[in-house]
Amino acid sequence: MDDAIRAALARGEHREAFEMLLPLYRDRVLRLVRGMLRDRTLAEDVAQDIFLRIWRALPGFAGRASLGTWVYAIARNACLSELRKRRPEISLERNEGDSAGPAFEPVAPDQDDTATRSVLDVLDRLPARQREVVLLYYVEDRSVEQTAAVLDAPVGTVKALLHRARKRLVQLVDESAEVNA
Amino acid sequence: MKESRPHALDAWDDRLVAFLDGSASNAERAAIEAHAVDCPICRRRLAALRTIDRDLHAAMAGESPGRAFDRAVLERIAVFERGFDARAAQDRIASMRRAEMAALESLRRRVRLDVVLDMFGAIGAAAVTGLIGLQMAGTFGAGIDAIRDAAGGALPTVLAAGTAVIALLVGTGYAVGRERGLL
Repeated sequence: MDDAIRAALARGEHREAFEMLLPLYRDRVLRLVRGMLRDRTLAEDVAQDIFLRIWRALPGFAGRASLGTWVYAIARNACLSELRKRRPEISLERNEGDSAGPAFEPVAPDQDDTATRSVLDVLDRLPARQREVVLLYYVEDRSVEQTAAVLDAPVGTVKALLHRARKRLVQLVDESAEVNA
Repeated sequence: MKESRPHALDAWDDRLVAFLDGSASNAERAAIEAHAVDCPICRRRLAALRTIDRDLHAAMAGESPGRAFDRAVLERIAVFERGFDARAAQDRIASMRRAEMAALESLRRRVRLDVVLDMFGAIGAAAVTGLIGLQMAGTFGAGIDAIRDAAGGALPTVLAAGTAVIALLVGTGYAVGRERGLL
C-alpha cells in the first residue's frame, strides 16, 4: 500500500494519496497517541490534528524515509508538543541511561482498568528510546520487523531495546507492587 | 514435581525474554518450558513477562474509531482549506492595497515636486514680468511721463509689482489645481 501511496504522490495526486494513507495509519497513529498521552478523548483530537499536519506536509514528503517513519515522526512530535504545552517544565528528550524522573508524563490519568494503568505508569519511567520501541512494537501488532522499519533501525537494535525494556518493566512493576503492598 | 536448584535469574532472563518474544528456536523453547516446570523463579518471571505483554497489548489496543474518525479528519481538512482560501484571498487583497498605496505615494511625491517646480516657475515668471514692466516703463518713459507724473513717479514700481503678483497668483493657482487633479 505504501507503494501505491508513493506512486500517487509522484503523480501529484495528494488527495488520493491521503485517502489511502488515512485508513492505513489511522488506528496505529491513534494507538501511539493514546499510549503517549494516556487520555482517550484528547488522543482522538490530537490524532485528527496529526492527520491534518500530514495532509499539509504531504506535498513535501521527499520519500527518503519510509512512509511509516515519516507518519510516526509527525505523530510523535505532535504528542511531544501537546505534552510540552501542558507540562513545559518536563524534560521530553531523556535518553537511555538517564535516571531522573519520567521522560514525559501523561496529561491526565485515563479511565483504563488498573492493570493497564499500572503498566502504562511504569512505561513512562523507561528511557525515551526504550519507551518508543515498546510503544511502536505494540502499535505494530508485536512486529519487531515493522517496528524496526518505522524507526529505520536494525532489527537487532530493536530486539535489544525491547529486551532491556521488558526486563526493566518487570522490575518496575515489582517495585510498584511492593510500594502499593 | 521436581524443583530445580535455585539459580541467579540473570542467567535465564535473556532466554526467557527470547522465549516470550518468539525469537527462541524450537529446541530452546522446549528447554525453557522444561526448565520452567521445575523452577519457581523462572516460572514467576515468565508469568510476570506475560502479564506485562498482555497489559501493554491491551493498553495499546482499543476499538478503532473507523470511518467516523476519517470523516472528522476530512472535515477538519476542509475547514483548514476554506480558511486557507480565505487567508489567501485576504493576502491577495492586502497585497493589491499595498501596491495601490505605493503607487499613490509615488504619485504624491511627484505631484509635490511638480508643485515646487511650478512655484519656482511662477516666481521666475513674476520676476521676469516685473523686469519687463520696468523695461517697458523705461522704454516708453517719454510716453508715460505724463502718467508717471500723475502717479507721483511710482508707476514703474507699481506696474512691476502688480504684474509680479498677478503672475505669482496665476502660477500658484495652476500648481494647486494640478495637485488636486483639477488641471
